[in-house]
Amino acid sequence: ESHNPYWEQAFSQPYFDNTTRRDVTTTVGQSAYLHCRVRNLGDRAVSWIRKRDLHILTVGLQTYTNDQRFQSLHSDGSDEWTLKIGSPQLRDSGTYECQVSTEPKISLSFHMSVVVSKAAILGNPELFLKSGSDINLTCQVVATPDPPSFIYWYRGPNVVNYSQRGGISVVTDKQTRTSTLLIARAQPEDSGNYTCSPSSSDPASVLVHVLNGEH
Amino acid sequence: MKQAEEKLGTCGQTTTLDARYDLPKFVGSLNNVTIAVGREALLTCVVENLSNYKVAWLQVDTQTILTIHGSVITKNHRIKVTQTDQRTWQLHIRDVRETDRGYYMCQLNTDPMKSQQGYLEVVVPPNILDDYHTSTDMVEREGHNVSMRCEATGSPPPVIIWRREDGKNIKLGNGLEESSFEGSLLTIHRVDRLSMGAYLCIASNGVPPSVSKRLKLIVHFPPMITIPNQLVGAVQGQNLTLECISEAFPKSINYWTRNGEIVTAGPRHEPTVYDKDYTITMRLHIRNVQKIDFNSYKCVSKNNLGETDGLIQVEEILQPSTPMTTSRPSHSTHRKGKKGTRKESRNDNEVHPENDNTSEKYRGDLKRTDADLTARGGAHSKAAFSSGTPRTSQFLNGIALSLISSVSLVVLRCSI
Repeated sequence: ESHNPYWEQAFSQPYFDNTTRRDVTTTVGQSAYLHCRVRNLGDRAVSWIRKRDLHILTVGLQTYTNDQRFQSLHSDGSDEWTLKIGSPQLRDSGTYECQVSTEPKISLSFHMSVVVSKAAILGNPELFLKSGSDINLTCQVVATPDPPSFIYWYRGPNVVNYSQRGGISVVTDKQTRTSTLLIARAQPEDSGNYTCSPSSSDPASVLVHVLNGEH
Repeated sequence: MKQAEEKLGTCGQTTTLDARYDLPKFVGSLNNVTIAVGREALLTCVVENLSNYKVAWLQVDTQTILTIHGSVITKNHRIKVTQTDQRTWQLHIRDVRETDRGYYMCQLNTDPMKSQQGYLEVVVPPNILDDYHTSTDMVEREGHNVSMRCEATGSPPPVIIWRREDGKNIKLGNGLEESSFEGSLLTIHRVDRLSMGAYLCIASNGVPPSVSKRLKLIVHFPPMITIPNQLVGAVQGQNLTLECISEAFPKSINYWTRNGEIVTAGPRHEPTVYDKDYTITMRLHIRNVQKIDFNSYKCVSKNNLGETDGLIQVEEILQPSTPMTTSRPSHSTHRKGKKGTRKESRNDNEVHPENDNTSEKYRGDLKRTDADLTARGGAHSKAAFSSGTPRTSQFLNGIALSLISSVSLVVLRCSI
């Protein structure tokens, strides 16, 4: 290192590559990864600590904590020191610090939010409709870091069968994270518990009563 | 607890025993430590049943990992960790600095983790700041206010005490006087010459050594002359000493004049000075007094702030055997300190026309003073002279000279 010309030595102190995401949201149970990139690490160690209680999680490739959900990921020669948090729980939300053992230390804070993603059907939880009118249900996925890859509709325990009767349409928009179920000219036999179940989110239900109005 | 049992299992521990008893735990708490800067600090963490768990040390305020088990993680080379019998883990911090002050954590990687904290107090002996925070020697005119500042760093913050080096009281002005004064700013109102001298500002905070700084306070004032005897009588042939006491700072130059001419050292005349602090006692020794010596002498004191003088009239005392030839009025008028008035030098040997008139007046005085003298000592005075002002009347009599108490005369003149 002493053979380095002065202009190289000027850069020999470790520093962070700030381009990685520092704010990470994940849903309960879905592994989260915090990526810390350090240039010019030299013989210093990269550690991860939990700011809340100063619990040391990993040091270099070693895991200090006995909470097995935490793991340090690093491949030889790479600048990246990733903290993997397996099956995160809500209580794991908080700030994690990537720390380099220089004197004084340098550090970069990462914030992880663990959320419970769930679906919500707009309107009342119980609907009463005259027979012959349309059933129009709109389901939205709230508090999810990523758009759902699919959204299923159920009536009772079964997936709504489009081919069973005509006049059923489902429009799913990943962008707005919504799905609309439309059943035209509903009959009393269309009554039931309708459930919207997106991938990796808790489902939402609405009870629909189609009334035979001509008494 | 179920979780803990699992964890022990993963640590290679036997799970046949109740895992609760195998979990490591702290013995006692982390003690707080107080250490002076530059020394080595030692924090001790005692753990029971450590088995395969690991002890880590962290600095809490900066959230820095220091050591894990036997390894030092930080690149701070002043940090070391030692361990004895798997129980006692000590964090060493060499050459302690003020930035090391704060809480330290001893952590065990149980699940959930366990930790305890101790405070490291770093104390610093006082240090007087030698920059603009602290005054250097002070020079101020008499009557002005003067402030001396002394600031010190240290931890805990030092207390500043002012004292005079000679042990005298500090005159804070407005009649207040203290043997010492606490505070970083010492203000003396309307400083006078008695406050001149060396002051010590002493900073202490309980961490040895205390330190002090010496500051000189110099008070400038124009000369002031005190004359113990303003009127001196002598007989021809005797030796005589005239004395003036002058106070001035910066130090004055002092000399004698007779008839406006400086008296230089000669076979019969020897001026001497004795000076102490701002006081100069100037004497003129005249050996074998001659006729010419019966005259007005003036002692002069000058410094850059002004000049003042005082008159001493030397009068002849006629021997009782010698018949008195003349009764000459004296011109021992001393000049009151009128600014800028430089009087003409009067030759007392000359007989001025107006002397005849004044002699009448003096004769009137003579009668009264004769009576006074008679009343006092019962002695007959052949001659007596008034110095011209009622306050400083002085009598001269060859016989009763010893009975006459001398009256001090203070002449103060500023001519800047």
